[in-house]
Amino acid sequence: MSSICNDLHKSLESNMERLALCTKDAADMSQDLSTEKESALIEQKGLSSTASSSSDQEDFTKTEVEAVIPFQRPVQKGHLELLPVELQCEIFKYLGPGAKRILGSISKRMYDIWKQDFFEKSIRINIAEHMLKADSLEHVSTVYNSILSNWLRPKGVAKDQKTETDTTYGDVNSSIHMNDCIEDAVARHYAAKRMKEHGDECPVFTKEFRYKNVILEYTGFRNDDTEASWLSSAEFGRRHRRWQLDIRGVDLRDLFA
Amino acid sequence: MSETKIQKLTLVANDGNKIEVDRQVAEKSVLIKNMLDDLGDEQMSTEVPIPNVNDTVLKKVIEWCEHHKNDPAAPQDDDSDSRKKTTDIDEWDQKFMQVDQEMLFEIILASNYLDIKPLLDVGCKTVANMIKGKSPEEIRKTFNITNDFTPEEEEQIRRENEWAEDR
Repeated sequence: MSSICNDLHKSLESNMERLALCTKDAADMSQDLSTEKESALIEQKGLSSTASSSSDQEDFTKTEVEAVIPFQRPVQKGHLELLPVELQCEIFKYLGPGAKRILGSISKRMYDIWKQDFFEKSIRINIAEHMLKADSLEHVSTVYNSILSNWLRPKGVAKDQKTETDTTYGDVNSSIHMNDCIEDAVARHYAAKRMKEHGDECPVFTKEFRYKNVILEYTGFRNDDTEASWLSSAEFGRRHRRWQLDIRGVDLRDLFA
Repeated sequence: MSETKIQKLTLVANDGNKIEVDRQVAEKSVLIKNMLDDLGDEQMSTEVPIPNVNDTVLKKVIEWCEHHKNDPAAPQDDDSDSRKKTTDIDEWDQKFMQVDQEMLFEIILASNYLDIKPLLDVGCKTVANMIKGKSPEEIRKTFNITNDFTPEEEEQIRRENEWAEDR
């Protein structure tokens, strides 16, 4: 039994040695290849590696340099990047779906979190995110507005409506322009906000419009008269005079700019 | 034997500085509260070491706990519906969080370590509000973040965020 163990042990040791040699060879080979590539690149440029002046080196294009030098991810120093992942996740949770997507595109680490915990193939935007400017959040930038406006291009036809808690589609036309959807969402956004300020309670539902790969979601309240989940803003305002909509302060054209 | 509850605690920051606080204030930290509950008053020293937090940050955290000492315990969050999380911050907390970025993130880390959920929420909401309404480049600039994507990764992100004209 012990001789079998010894044999196995010897065989294992010899395999480990061979593996170590192979790894070393592979590393050397990789280095050689890298050096060969560099030399080839230098030769191609008609330069001698020893005689090349600094002006000559500037002739290398960025792509050529990237092809030779392996990409090294820069070390992040910002406080947000250095937080533990669970705290970064907490911050994500306080953002709307559009802002999550934007945050997920700032760095590899943020992208990985977004991809793992918040990824959605469709581009989802909450109407409140599109209303930030109107809601007078100070630092809303024009670039941000144009990103969202680009996602919510007000052209074409919205279809495939669905709601999470309300399944009535009675008044939904088969073809609705995205402009109308946004206008309706804006109206309901303000109505729901006003009701909340008044401390009123009413049946609330989340509704979403889908147009190609873009989903516009918003929270509104159900029309108890018809059980319909769709009303134009004018009709909506007429039926709910108590919470008469005040969208005069909002230039809807801003949303489509 | 009559049981007398410790009414004052001395928190010792990682730089050795000591800060005396009311027990009620210190117990806003679930970490300290559990420590007191587990050890019992008799075995508990009135000095509580806080090894992960420095004096300046600890004072700031205590300031927040002092102000909120009478707040009712917050209900447990239902994380399953994170989309409904609001970023409204009350006025006092907004002013409290008007600090430089280093301090803001130190407060977040300290509140996480000390397990003060409402303070952690305020910190995360503050950061979320700094992110809202900004483009990726503006967020990078705000938080001193380097774009560290490879060209291939950037291309993938561009494709994922593209409005599907022809889909």
